[in-house]
Amino acid sequence: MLSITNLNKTYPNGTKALNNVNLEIGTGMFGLLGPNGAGKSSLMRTIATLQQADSGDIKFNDINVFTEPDELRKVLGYLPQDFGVYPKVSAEMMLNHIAKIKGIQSKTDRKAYVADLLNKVNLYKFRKRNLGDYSGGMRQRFGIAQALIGNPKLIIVDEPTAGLDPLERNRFHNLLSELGEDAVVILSTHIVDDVINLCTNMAVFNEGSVVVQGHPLELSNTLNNKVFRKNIAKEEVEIYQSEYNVLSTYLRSGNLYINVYAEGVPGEGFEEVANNLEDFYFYSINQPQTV
Amino acid sequence: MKEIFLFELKYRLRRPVTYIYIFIMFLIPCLLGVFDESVTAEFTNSPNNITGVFGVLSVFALFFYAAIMGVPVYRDEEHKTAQTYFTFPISEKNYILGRFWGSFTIVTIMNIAAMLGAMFGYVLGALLDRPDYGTYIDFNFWSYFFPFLYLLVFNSFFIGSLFFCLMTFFKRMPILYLGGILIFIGTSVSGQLLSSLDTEWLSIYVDPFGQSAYSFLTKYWSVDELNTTQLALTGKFMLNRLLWLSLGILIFVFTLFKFSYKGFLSSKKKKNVKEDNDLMGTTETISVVQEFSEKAQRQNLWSLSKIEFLSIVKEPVFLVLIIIGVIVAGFITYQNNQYNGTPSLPLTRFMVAYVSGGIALFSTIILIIYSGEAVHRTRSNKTFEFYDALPVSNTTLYLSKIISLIGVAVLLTLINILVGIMYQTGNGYFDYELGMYLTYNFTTLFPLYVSTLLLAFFIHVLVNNKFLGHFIVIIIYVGIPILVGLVLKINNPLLAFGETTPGFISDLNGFGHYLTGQFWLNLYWVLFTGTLAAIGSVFWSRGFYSSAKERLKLAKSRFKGKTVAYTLFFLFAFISVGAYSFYNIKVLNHMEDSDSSEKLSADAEKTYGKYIDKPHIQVIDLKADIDIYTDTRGVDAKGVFTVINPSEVPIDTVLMEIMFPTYDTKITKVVYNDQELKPFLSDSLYRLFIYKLPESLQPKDTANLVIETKARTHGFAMDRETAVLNNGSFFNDAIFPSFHYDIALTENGAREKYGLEKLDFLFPPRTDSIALKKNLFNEDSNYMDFEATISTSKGQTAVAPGVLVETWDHEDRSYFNYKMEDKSDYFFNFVSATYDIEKDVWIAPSGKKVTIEVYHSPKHKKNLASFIKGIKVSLDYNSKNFYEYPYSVIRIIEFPAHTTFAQSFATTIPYSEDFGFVADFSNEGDFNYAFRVTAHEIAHQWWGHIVTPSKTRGANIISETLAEYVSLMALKHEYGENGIKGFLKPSLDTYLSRRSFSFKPERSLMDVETGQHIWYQKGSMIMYDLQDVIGEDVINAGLKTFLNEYKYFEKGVYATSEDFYKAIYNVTPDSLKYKVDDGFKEIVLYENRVMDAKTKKLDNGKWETTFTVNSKKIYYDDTGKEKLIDDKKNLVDVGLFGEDITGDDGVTIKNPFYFEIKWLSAGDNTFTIVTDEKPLKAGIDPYNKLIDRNSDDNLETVEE
Repeated sequence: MLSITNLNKTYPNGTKALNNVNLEIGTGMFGLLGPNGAGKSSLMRTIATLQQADSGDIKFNDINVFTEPDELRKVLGYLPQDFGVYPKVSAEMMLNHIAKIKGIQSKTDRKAYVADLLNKVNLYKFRKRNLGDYSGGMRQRFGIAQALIGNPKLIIVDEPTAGLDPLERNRFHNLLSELGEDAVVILSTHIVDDVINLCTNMAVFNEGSVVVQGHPLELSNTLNNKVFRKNIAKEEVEIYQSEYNVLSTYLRSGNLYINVYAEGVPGEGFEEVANNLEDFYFYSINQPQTV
Repeated sequence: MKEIFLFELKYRLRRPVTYIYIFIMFLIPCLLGVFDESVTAEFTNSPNNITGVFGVLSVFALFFYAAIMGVPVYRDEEHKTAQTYFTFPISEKNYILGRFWGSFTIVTIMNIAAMLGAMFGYVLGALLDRPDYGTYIDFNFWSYFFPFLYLLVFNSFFIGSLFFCLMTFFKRMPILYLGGILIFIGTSVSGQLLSSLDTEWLSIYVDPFGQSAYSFLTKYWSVDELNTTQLALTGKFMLNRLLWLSLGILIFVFTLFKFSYKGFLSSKKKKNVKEDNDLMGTTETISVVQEFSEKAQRQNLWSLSKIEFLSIVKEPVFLVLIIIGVIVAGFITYQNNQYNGTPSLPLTRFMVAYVSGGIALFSTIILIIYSGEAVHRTRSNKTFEFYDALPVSNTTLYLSKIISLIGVAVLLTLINILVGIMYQTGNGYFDYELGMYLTYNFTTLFPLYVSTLLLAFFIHVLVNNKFLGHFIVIIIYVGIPILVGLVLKINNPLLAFGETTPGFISDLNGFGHYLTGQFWLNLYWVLFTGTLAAIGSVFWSRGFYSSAKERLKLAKSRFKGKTVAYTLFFLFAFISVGAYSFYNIKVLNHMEDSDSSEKLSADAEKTYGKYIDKPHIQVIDLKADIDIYTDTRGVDAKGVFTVINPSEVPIDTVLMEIMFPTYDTKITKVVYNDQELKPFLSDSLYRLFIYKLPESLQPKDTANLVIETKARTHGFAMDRETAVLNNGSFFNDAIFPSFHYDIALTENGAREKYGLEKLDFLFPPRTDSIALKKNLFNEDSNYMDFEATISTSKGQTAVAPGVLVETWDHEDRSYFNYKMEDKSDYFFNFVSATYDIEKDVWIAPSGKKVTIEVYHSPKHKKNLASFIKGIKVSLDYNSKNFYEYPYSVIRIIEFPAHTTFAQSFATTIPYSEDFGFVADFSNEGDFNYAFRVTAHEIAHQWWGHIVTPSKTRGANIISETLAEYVSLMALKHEYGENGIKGFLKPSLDTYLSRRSFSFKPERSLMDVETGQHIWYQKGSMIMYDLQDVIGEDVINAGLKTFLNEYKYFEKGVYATSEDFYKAIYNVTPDSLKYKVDDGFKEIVLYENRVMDAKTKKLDNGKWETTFTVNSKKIYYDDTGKEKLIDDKKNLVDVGLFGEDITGDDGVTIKNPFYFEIKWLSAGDNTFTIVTDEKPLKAGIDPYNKLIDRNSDDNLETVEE
């Protein structure tokens, strides 16, 4: 159980990256949705012991992340959004090294374990290649492998499937949900579908704070019968935006549509649509004050 | 383009680091200017000195040029702005032009700051009242502007365009380092090339900064020329500048036209990579045990260190650096492993010194660069974003980088050894002394490497900017020693990073006693940097930081437990070792900075100056008992003197000044006519004591005086203390006190500073009747009797002048008793080491047998024949031409290589082991300096010991110039033209290039007091020319008369340079007397050259050649100004030559078809000569017998 209480962080340039964040996250997959610059990465780094907070607490089971970072690191698996590698070292050597660091001391076990892991991320045949010569997708898979070493109890993955093809993405999702059976897994993303498919719990994060937290389906359902769609002309967008609570504007077969939130049918030409999590997501980041 | 240009400018001007660069560029020349010091007759702010400051600055400025010019295009790559930027409507050329000129403008602003800094520095220096810093001339803008333009601007353009180009095309920081290092190599190699006559011409092309080319241009300039000539694009300097400027332009144009957006964006081509196609079968998850123990931590540390180490050594640039370093080290070893152009044997002790000398700069640069890389690696490759969240301790993260760097240091140390062994093997020398290799490299180099990397690592951890970090390290590395030495004038090794106590390696003495001090000082620096590294660990960046404040807060919180313990441990150890070293260097031993020793000398002169020229006792007989303790490096001496009052007035006091180099030397007992004396004046600081005699010593009366002294060494010192060594002691009669006071401070600036009268001359004029009675070498005696009993450790042989009367062993010591057969001047030496003795016999013309002995290290058997030949030839020459050798023994005795000289005492010549014993004379064409120097030293038995110079101006030429003359004649007879060539050419070069270093106006030969280049090199040139035109026999007859008149002080006065001059002048025919005057009394330079030469075939098959030579002879005054251009006729050689003849032994000599000495009038002289064969070259003074600053134009090709 990861519990975050009253977490605050302000950067020297005045940006409030974390604004009194409170979260309780239990075993299973937890989705973290939020727009760019919302502070997701700051939150993840802070949980992953890589960044200090101005105030607040993070506890994972009995471990205080700020005072016992080394204890947390032992049970942590972390895949950052943007990371690099030692270019002159092979994947096998590096993973072997990381396995050692993660406390896998038996040499034979470690070897088999690393081989298995490489196989799982489909890198086995490239294991002797220097990391510097990996393509972007291969590097991402290496990142996944290193995050999974040592059966972590807390897994934090930041945009993990960026750069992966659909096949690799599925493979990774399966891996992740397997692990989610007895670990806390935090998945940061802005792909709403991933959250629906994988997560039992989620939060929407915006401007440094948790906007809303709950089960994806339940959250989505709160907007049932309250989302309406209309086909409009391009030049009308601004008018509608000022008059209605526009959740999103999008194109379908070249026609421009808007989705609007309203308690009842908002007007002529609007039709009720089967709403989904995406609508809820837009709804919550547009109107944080109403939740 | 304008937009990009302005963007670049604004970008730079918005960044604070730009102002730091500009400030440093101002500060360095400013400090160099303020503290520039001239100890010669050159003005402190002469155009030459100012140019020198800009030259030094060019090297430092490389960093800033790189930081500004290397990155503008790279920035677009690094910040990933390139992709978008290049889609804007800007042409590629405009993009490059804008970026380049924007950056170059910033660099130029930095250069202007440097120029202003130099101006400010020198003006400030001139305003301060510091007579010891030399004299200043008025401010001259052009003295600053020209070097600014020709050095800074030119260099920044070349370096700027090079770095700009490298980064534009390679987009990798290591390439920048590589470029910088190549330029460094260029400068250091060009400096090396400049030091040898055969290779100096190359330095013009190799030197990217123009410093060596400038030095080459001004090599033969006089002080006056250095003072008045503004830097201009002329001659060799112009060639160099234009060459490198054009190269810069070429690179720039190349970049401009070759650059394309497409090329820039395309990523590197894929390398061939290993692939294993075997697939894993099972996917069942293996359950593993996790365990986080102490042992596991250590293994993690080791494993991460390995990764870090591999990340360094697998970097191609690292490999390239190592290869370049090895090549440069090989080159520098080759250049240094020679003396006078003759190669030395590749002994291991030479290898360790030269190889490390060649590679040290590289190793340091590599360690500094890779320390920076190690600090920044996981940040710049972004590994830290996940790695720092792994369960690895901060200590492991931190230490792994240091361990990997120590691994690199070990690698570099081993490379030193490898290069040495390769060099030896390549030269067919297989006597590898592995123990010496390991000891030297791991006790001297390795600790320095470790402290360098720790320091660099610490700085880089603190300073989060790579360029700035590198620069600060360099400043600490180079700047602090300069600051401490030059500005504060302190030579305390505890204050200058990496300094240790000095030492040297010798075949006789091995590492000697020097390793102890070096060990403690090395430990001191390792502990110092270890303390820094321990403190640095709390500043190690892990994860992300948002502010310096946060970093500091975290550092504070990390500073606890083990970190505090380690820091305190290092600090405590550092302080303890520092205190122990200080106790040894400063308390047990004596170390004074130059200022305080100057002050001591000045104070002494004020107090004791009144004793100068006062009558004092002189020695007529000495029986010395010398006990040399080689283990503790001490001496006990007892001298039983018979002294006389040589004056006309009674003497009632005796002054004794201790001159022995060992600081702790004491007079323990003084007994005068059986009565023990105590000093009434004791100055233990200056080591001068004055005793009152119980009753006055009446004129011409004698007395018995017994003096006992003790010299002791303690612990380790900053002094090499070479007088007494474990194996190879060599000291002279200074073990006994001097009986007169003499001034010790001769530099006029320092004299002025301490309120002493300036000296125009150091010695009295030749008319001074007191000085005429003073023996130049030691005025405490005229000629005297001498006997010595020396004891030393059993197994060593001790030697003093005279014949060996008796030798015996007593307990564990060996005793040797020597007695001089005849009277000699008061100038004796004592030597002790383990020797083999090579013996031979020379029979004098009268039939007297003289024993020849060469005392040498058992390792040095190779060149003994050269020494013995030199002894025989010189004994023969001097005995036949002047006077028979007066003793029955003559010896050469080797001493350790702390200095390279030989010194002739009566019958006994101590000789440095590096002065011929380890030379490789296997190539006949190489100059045999063992023979040459031996002939010179033997000649001193006559010129120095039989005829001793008086203590007057110029008199030393009787000793040195005549010894040179004899050795030159010996060479002429033994080796012919080739021997003379090997002598005259370097003599000419040395004389001409040292003229500007005169700290007084340049004296004529007759008046020379301190210029070695005058009494050796100019003297030998003059004497060679005189015997060439007047005849060797005539000169020798004159010298024989001179010797007979002045030998053994029989005349009651010692000889002067005037007496020597007259001896030659009197035997010279009238028509040639001008040559004697020119040589002795004037400063004369010839400017001879061949104007043109044409030949045609005559009908009879012979060749008629018409050639015109121009002869010019200029008289200079003593400041180097032109005084007079001679309009009279002069005797000069002219000739026509065929192709050089190379003999079977590989020796090349000239092949004259026509060669005659002619009276040439000033200006052009044309000759038409018929020869049987077709001449290839025409020449004026083709053998360079005359002093001529441009000897290259003396021989020119004959056209058909």
